[in-house]
Amino acid sequence: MLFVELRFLPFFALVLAVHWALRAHAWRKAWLLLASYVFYGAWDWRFLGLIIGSTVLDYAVGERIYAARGRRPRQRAWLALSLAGNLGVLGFFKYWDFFAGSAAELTAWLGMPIALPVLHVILPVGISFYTFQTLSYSLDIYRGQLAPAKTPLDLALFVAFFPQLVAGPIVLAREFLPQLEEDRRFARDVDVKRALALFFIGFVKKSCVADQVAPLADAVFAAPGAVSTGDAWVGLFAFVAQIYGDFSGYSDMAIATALLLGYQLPRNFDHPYLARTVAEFWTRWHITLGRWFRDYLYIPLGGNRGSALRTRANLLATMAVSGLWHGASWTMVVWGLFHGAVLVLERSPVLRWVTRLPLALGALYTTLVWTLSMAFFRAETLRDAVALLQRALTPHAATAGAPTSPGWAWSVLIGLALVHIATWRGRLVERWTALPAPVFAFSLGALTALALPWISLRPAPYLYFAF
Amino acid sequence: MAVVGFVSANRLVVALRPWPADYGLGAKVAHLAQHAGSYDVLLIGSSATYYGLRPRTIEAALAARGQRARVFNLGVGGMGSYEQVYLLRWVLERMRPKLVLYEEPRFDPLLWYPDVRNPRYIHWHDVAMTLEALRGLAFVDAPPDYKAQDYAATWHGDWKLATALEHVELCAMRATALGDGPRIAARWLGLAAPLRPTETELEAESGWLDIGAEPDPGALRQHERFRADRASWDARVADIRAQNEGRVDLAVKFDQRAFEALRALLDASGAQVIWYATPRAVGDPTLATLAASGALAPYLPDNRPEFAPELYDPDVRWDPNHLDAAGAERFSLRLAGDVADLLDTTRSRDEVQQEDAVQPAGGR
Repeated sequence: MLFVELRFLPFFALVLAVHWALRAHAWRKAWLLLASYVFYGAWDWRFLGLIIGSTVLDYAVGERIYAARGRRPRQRAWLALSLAGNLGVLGFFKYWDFFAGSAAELTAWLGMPIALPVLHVILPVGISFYTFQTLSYSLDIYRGQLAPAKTPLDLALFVAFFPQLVAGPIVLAREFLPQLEEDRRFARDVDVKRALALFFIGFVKKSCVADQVAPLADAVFAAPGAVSTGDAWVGLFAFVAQIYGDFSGYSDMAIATALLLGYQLPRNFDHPYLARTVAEFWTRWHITLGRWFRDYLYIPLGGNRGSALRTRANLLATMAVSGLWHGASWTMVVWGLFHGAVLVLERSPVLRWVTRLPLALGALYTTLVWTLSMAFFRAETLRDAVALLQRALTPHAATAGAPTSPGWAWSVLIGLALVHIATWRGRLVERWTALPAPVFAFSLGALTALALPWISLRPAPYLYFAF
Repeated sequence: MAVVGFVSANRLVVALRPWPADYGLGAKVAHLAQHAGSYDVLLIGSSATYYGLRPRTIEAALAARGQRARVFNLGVGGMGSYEQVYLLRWVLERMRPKLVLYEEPRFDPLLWYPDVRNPRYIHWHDVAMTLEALRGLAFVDAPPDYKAQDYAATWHGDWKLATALEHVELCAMRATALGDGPRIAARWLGLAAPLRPTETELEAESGWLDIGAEPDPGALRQHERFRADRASWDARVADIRAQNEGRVDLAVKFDQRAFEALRALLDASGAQVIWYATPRAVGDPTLATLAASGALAPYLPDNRPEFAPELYDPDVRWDPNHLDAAGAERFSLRLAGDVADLLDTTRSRDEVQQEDAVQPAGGR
């Protein structure tokens, strides 16, 4: 089930009504867990077993890690079980075919071909997200930063909470479990105006922006070696708009949905295309993933506490893994390494000067780096990505039969950039939600009526559902 | 307050929404909106009318019979039966034609296009037309063949329920102008592609278009296929005759209430109506039964190869369902002759009735 599907409205209306009608906090949590399983099962009920299995494993392991306080080797053994279980499932479903295919190619190249079976397994929606959440639970208990969940129900709801189950934000156990321990009160915990505004904005980003510009990107990425230089940039910028609208829109709706149920989810995007540097960009784009990698990979690797060389290696390794998290393909690994390389360069004299650029130039630099990297992110193969970059970076005319972008494409893309700037500079969302309730309600109704005509009749699938 | 805001803005958006532009619809509606008073005779129907009936030829033929009239061809490519009623309703709110020639009054509620959510379908789904289409589903036996499998996979194979939900969805999309933003912006910012036929073409030919002049790729493919397979045409024509011999139970197969409503609409406009069938490559037992029952009088059954063999000559056809320019000339002359005969008969009858009405008074 998707937030933008019509069936989500009656589903959520029912969930919301029953949730707030129930008096007992435990019953509310049980109801939300049931709703979350229904939400996930609407996609494919068979994979509910993975979520439940992951919950059971981490509940049991969490208890034992906590009970083994002061006995580090024992704790480490239990943690290893959690890591093996969670990463094993993720690795099988998400990476088996990739590694099997890559191993076959490598061994064939070495003249010792080994054929591992390619299984074409279905990637369970949201597995990358909830696996990272459950890992944060075991790891935080191991680090002594968290006590185990009070009840299995609490942990199950933390893992499966439907607003953030399939595409984040990636919530940490230490920020969500405490919310489950305390009764929710509508008047105290629900900011209705903020929730409705966020849901509306997220909906517009996904259905009116991302889905509308997706065909521009699709056309260019379907013929990356044939388009003109201008159209190559249109395709790249269109994808930049699409991925932001798609993913940040989903996050906004997730946060809003949770908020209406009385729960706070962390912010996931903060106008990333206005970051001055790529390093800053990664603190404003998919914030909860960046935080996860920082806390559970980069810092454990040594972070920036070692030599400059070690710090650079840690950055590259973290970004390469981040690339692999986004997709099991070499294009994603290259994309991650590309960002890792830019982060390293920004710490070196080669690119350190960009940190001193005025905001406008810094944002332009960051957006250009991000845009170029999107060639690897979106292209099917490395060859396609390189072909598109060649087209974009050196003057080319379109070859015969190549798709051409419509004349209005640039106007729309520039308009979207201006909206991105205006919402940040003018703090439009904050001002909007500060309006008196009747004015806010009238404007929300009117804006909804004005937005509906801009919904694409051919919605693109959520990009991050593939991760 | 949210509802007030929604309704206010929604009304504004809906008012700004243009008609869909494709296959002559947008251009013809825009033309009629400007020149509603210029025409006396309206031909309304599908692409078979659009490409098959040339108003200039009809006007000349009628003039030769002493009947002066300005004729407009409101044929639109791909026009379905409910869209045709919707368009007629819109036209009759703006103009008062003396004569309406109405192509094949069928009430087919099936959504034939593969992409159901298209602007054409959405546009006619106001509440009244949607209710008519939902009622019409009772008179249909099966979904389009190529969609049967899709329907079988949804709603436990209940294709009628699935189709009904599609109609309801289209109605909701129309009410909210869902997905119409790009069309509205393009229209009001002047970015929309030029309408076809152009205003000059409409002025020159009053709505008719030669199908062979700049055909779209789909029409060209049909044409080439037809030319490559002319050998099977005679057999196909024989099939048409057999199909037209068939009879159906109108109470089960035909939405007579919708037909009566259409007649009432035309009667209320004061226009005389003539029903006609176009020389298609398929027969229509429902129309044939309706005509045989007398409900369709006056009716010009030009879908009968035995009555109109000159229209089934493959040399004047573009494809199985459309005539080329030479065929359009033949069809227009034939239709104009039949119309003139009918008008003469009506005039004579009216004159007799008037004389009958005047006689007693004169006698006193």
